Amino acid sequence: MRASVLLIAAVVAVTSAGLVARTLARVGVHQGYAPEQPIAFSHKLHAGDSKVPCLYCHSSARTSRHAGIPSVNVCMNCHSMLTKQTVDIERLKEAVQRRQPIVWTKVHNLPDFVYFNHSQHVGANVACQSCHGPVETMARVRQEAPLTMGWCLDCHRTRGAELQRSRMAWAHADPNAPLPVTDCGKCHY
Amino acid sequence: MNAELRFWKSVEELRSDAGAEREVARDCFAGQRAQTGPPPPVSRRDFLTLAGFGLAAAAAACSRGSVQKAIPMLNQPEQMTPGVASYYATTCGGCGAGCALLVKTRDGRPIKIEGNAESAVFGGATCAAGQATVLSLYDDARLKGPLLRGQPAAWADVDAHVSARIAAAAAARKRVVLLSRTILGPATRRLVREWSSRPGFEHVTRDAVSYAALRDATRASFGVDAIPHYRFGGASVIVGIEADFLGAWLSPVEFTREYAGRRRPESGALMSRHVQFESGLSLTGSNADIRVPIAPSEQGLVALALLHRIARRHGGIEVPEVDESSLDAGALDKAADDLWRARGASLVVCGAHDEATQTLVHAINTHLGNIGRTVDLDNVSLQKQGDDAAFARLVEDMADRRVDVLILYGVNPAYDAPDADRFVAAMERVPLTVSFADRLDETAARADVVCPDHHFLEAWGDAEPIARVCSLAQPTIAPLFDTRAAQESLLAWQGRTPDFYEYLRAYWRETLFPAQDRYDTFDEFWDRSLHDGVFARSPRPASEHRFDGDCARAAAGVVREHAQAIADARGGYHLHLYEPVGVRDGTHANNPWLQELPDPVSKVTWGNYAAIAPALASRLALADGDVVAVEAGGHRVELPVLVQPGQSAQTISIALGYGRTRAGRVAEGIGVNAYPLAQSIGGRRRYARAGVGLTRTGRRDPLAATQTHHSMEGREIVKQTTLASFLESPPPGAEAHADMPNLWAEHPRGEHNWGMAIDLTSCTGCSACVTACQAENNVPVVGRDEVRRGREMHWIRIDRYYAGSEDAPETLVQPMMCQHCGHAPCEPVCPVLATVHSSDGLNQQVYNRCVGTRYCENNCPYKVRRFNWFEYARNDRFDFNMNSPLGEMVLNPDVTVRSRGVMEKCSLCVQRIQAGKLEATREGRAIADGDIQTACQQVCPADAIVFGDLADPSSRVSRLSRQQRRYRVLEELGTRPNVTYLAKVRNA
Repeated sequence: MRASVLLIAAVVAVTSAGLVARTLARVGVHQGYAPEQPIAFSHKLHAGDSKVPCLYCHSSARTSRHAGIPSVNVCMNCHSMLTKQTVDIERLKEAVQRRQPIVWTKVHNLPDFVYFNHSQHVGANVACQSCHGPVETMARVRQEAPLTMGWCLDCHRTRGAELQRSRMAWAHADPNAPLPVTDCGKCHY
Repeated sequence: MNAELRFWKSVEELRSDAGAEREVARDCFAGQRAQTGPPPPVSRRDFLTLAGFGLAAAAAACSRGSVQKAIPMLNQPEQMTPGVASYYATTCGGCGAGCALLVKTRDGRPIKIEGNAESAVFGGATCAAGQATVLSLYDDARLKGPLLRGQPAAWADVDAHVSARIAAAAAARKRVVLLSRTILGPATRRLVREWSSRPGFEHVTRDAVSYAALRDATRASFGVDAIPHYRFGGASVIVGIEADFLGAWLSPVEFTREYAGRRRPESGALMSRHVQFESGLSLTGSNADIRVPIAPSEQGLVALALLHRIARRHGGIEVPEVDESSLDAGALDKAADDLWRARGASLVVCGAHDEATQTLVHAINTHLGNIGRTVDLDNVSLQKQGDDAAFARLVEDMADRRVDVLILYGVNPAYDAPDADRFVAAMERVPLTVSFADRLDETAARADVVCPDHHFLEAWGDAEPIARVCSLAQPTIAPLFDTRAAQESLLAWQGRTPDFYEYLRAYWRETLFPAQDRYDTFDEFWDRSLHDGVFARSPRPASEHRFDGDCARAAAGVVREHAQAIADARGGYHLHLYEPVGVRDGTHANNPWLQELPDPVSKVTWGNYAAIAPALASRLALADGDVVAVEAGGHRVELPVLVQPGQSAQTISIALGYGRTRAGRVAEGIGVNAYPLAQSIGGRRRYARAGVGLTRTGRRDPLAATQTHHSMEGREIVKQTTLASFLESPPPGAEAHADMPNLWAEHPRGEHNWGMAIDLTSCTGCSACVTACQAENNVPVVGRDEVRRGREMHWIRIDRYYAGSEDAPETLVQPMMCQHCGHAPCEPVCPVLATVHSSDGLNQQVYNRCVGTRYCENNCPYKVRRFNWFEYARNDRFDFNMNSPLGEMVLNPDVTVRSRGVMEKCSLCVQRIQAGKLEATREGRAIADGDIQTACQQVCPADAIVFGDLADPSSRVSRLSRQQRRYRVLEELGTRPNVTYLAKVRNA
């Protein structure tokens, strides 16, 4: 009787401790976050069905730390010639007429103490989908990856190391030298 | 090296015994010291309970972070990419020097100022004040729009009001006066000429700190109505008489650059020798090879005694005999010998505000054959054109109601005129006063109309600081507030189109475009000039300049003045007022970066003080922080004492530029205004006087000094030698400790090994690096009280040591920042691995891991780690212009804003290293030496700091690290720093 009470108590304690730990470990992780946007822009329609390349709209991903949300003039490159009318396209045109930029809700957020540079990754031929998931299938964008440090490092230790080695061979550096791919100061400053 | 000299950082340290030295405050105890008063009411058990609950609550609340918005531009300009910096060339408006700048803007906001390397005169460096001007742009104390009789008004109403009144004054043949500071821009100069050439219109120039004596003496001596352009690069012997040319005098960046270029011990006999005669220990004096303290009244005598000696060697010149009993004849003989030996390549500069003294100095330079060589009268300086006599006449006229309209442009006489009360009273007798001030300053507050000018980073403009050396200024941001360029206001009130951009282009088209033959069309020429920022015409060749000055009269004047000063000084002291390196003439008083910049010599922040000699302090039983009253000419100020080694025995030195009452919140209550202590002799301002009273008040006001917080407990951390002994037997470098055994395993070496070399012979201690680092790395300002507690956050500091006697010490400076040790003592003591070694030799600080034990700070032998005692960002207690939504715009988005409870320190600008690596990778090349510059290196006008890859044996930093003068600080501890210092060599 007494032993079983203790056992139950122990099970409850371990389970709740596990649950607390699990909850704490997930603080700040927003995997699956898919906020509603002011214009129901569909990546499925644009990147998927119409096959518009990612970098056509997110052109600064090539040169900047920010992939950038396209400014309205980029949208209008096509939409000024397309005749299709929907409520959302009306909203876009209204933004142009009222000279009001569109206030989007950011989906992928990193903490302030992390430096991430899109151009660095695009330049190393990392596909957008490796971090953002199959965006071309998403009607509303959601955060696919956990964007945790461990998740970043998984790739840095494998893909990153591989790339770094090839770059160092090309720069005639010592092939056995330790790689900077997991240096804290690579992202935290 | 340092065989017989004992180094000390403060008078207390020199005088104290070993036991008392333990009392010297150290940063690691700063926290405990501040915790006075009753213990907090929360017990340990309560704390744990609350912490547990807090954690659970946080976990529950944080399941979803705050929603972040992203707002792209409506219509993105082609040349702008969010997240990529653009650079614009412009011209600095921080002081009257007019250095060429390159401004870094991110997403449309200027965030960092660099020197423009295209400029042959100023180079890629700036000073501390220039660095800090970007923060003044985001100063909330700036006016948000024009004011008409103190009330916000529309520009159209203001224009209608002012134009009508000016027209009425002109019709009634009354006088309209434009009172401005020196106008550096040739286009603006023409505009002002057009403005004031109409009958009844007048233009008077006035600078906050006067250079009128030098200009008048040059006109009388050579018939050239300007200040000569001094060329320190051509001088192998420099004698300075009370001229702080490395700190704040005339054009410090240019002078430091040229001066330091001649301070290379490896060049042997080419290394210059510098002798300084001065009363207070200035930045320049602290760098001199030989420094002789004099009373301010002896400046003329020194010039006369030097002239006498030069004339004797020259022969054929009559110079009257003079009583030199109060001077150091030996030092004068030696200085004259050196000057004479280097004739034609020597230079005497003098900061005296006395025409007679300046005339004698011109005579010395003439007899030494320096005219046309180190003293250029053909390509003169156009930097300080203030006319004291004209200003004095103007005040008379205003008082006599002979001025109908007064327009104030870049001047603040109600604050900085020695007889400000008279000016204020006279101003009330002017029917219409208009000010272009950017804030409601002491003068603008009394003006009828205030038409705020743009900050220089928002405005078009040009500059010609040295004749034939022009630069352009362009806006780097759209005006933040409803301000208007002063030039456009002047155009509008003349009934012309208020478009200064077109005016500027027209000026350049008509005047400068024909002066070149590289570009066929004006647009090409304009675009190129705007891109480069500078346009220099070839200098005029040296022509013959005869010295026409009246030496006999000047000598008689100097002797008379000195006798008068001795008579006045009986029972009193001499007073010496100077422009400090930080807030300068007071324009930057509301700039917290400059308020918190330690004075290069005294290391005092936030406010001025009365510097007195140690012997005088002992006699009067005064110590640092004792408040005294200084009385001169009927004015009295109360301020704390600083015991300043090297201070002339009977002289009190006080910095100008403090005690602003209407500059803004930051400046309020900081220091006292010393301008009223200056005197006006014959309308000309003098920043020295005799017969000054000094009385104790009994109050104490502890100085906020960074000086004694970092005592290194008497170890040999700075090395120096003389040029003679260096050339005879170059000292052994780092070999002394090279083979020391080490308990730690070597860190594996990656592709790079970043390091730094700092030449202590070049470094002047000007502290530009401190402000540059602050701007680059989002270093918070902590304020006066926190500095008193030893909690300043600067990542780089300039340690200053004295050696020798306290009456005439040698001063040494040493930039000190994280040494990025190969075996860093901070690393093994961190319980959470928040400070770790990187593969490329950096000691990394990981903010998000840090839990704030401060073990690392305690274990760092260099005391370079800084702890965030508070949340400095977005905190009303620390609102120092960086923390408001407006001020935040100055932050560097590539560097984390640190939060409370974490440690931070120099990262060797790791964000710049990463950016440099990225750029090289993207361009498919290896990183070249010099690609990556740290902020402190880039700003250094003396080129004293070199950063680079120690793994590359041919890099500049590697070569310097192998030099014979090399050593590493505290290398006997086995820390293996990646920062190498090159020993100071004094040419004494």
